[in-house]
Amino acid sequence: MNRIADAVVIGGGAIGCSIAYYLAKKGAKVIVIEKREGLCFGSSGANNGGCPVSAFESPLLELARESLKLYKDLSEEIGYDIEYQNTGYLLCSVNEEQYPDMERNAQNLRRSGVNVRLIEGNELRELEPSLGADVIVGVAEQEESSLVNPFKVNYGFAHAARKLGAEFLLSTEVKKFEINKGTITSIITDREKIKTNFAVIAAGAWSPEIGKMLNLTIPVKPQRGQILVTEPVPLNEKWRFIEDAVYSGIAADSEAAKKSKDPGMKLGVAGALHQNNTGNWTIGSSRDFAGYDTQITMQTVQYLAKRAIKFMPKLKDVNCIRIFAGFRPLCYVDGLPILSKVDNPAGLVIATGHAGEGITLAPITGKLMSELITENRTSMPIDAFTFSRFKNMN
Amino acid sequence: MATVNRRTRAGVARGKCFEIEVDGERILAYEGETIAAALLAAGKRVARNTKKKEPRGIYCGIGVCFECRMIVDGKSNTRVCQTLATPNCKVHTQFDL
Repeated sequence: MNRIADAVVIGGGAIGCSIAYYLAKKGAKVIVIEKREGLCFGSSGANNGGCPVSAFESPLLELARESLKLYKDLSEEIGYDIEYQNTGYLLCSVNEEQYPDMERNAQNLRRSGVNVRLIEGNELRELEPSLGADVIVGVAEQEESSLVNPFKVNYGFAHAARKLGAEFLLSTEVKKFEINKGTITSIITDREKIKTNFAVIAAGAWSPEIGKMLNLTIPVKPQRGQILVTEPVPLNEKWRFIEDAVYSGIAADSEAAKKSKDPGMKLGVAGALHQNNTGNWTIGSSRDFAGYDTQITMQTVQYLAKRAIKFMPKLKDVNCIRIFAGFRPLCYVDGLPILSKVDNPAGLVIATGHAGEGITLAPITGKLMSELITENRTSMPIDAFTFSRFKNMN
Repeated sequence: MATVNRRTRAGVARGKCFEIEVDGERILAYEGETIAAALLAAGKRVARNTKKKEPRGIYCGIGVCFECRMIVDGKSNTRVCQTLATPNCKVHTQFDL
């Protein structure tokens, strides 16, 4: 049987499903192909659902802010509760030397129009008594940063897309693309052939495999992250979304972190603590490269726990109930996502490389990619994320 | 101090006697006893309340069923049947989240 679609999305994660939803909303007939037996099997199901605004810098900052605006009313729009909670975000430091950086960070953010406040350690502990004595200073953002349930974001988008006529083919692998005169005409999977003029690669860390079928080098590799989940404890009063000031540094340059003398730093460990509304804490984050190996490593887990206790000493008495690892699809050239049409073959769109920000950026990615496909223009500039920036690789 | 004492007396040699604190009330315990044993001896059967607010007590007594979890010295989800009583340890009934 031959199927026909206006667009085929490869990848059933949060990004793929978001693109499918916004395309279907514009009236397109969409088919989503997922090689695993269910949705949310990759990175979308292996993160902690934190959407911070003040952790970004331009040009991603604008996208993140727009994305969070979309998240605000998303549950209502798609008829599916994604557990959006405007929890605010506290970036804090346990190292005196970082004080000037924190000040500068807050200044830059305020200049970009993000309402952040620099708060000294003592005042922080007054507002949130569970913070540790080591915490020296924090940058707090209250209005935009939020937590969502990443599974529900993924399923919610899929649910809404399906209601609008999108089809989901699970356990289906892309095998080949058929190209006629430089334009995609169909996609051949291990089951059938789908006639389409648009293919979207939204396969996250697995995107390079798809790119290879088209002789394209998509410069993305899987960066492993490990997360501990604790038993539920009473909710924090003020901040439930707390991150370490070294987080952004390690995120931006994990190679430099690798050379660090601090053994925890070497493993890319930075405190990233989220408490969701059930009371469970998720404790991240680590960064290393281990191919597609989802094994957790004891050493990293120990450093994660130690780092977390520095920020929230009360966690030392809380049991860990689960540990898992997942992959950030990291663009190893510049760390920025790839949200772009490709010139050759025409009809190919790439939406991957979101690194650790895939959930934050899922709604806006879906919206922009749907505009790119149906109208050939986007409501926000995405020139910084074009695929042609890798032209010397392709 | 709770007055109930359900321990058998005949033929049992016990260690040193001390007090522990359960939800603010002092009860007796002997060296080598688990907190669960001390609770039962004092006639206390509820260790925790489930999410649905139903009481749960000591069930298997050998650390398998996880029914007798309480807050011991600030540590939640501690199985009292596997935790020895120590002088003045503070035990609280747990209300599951």
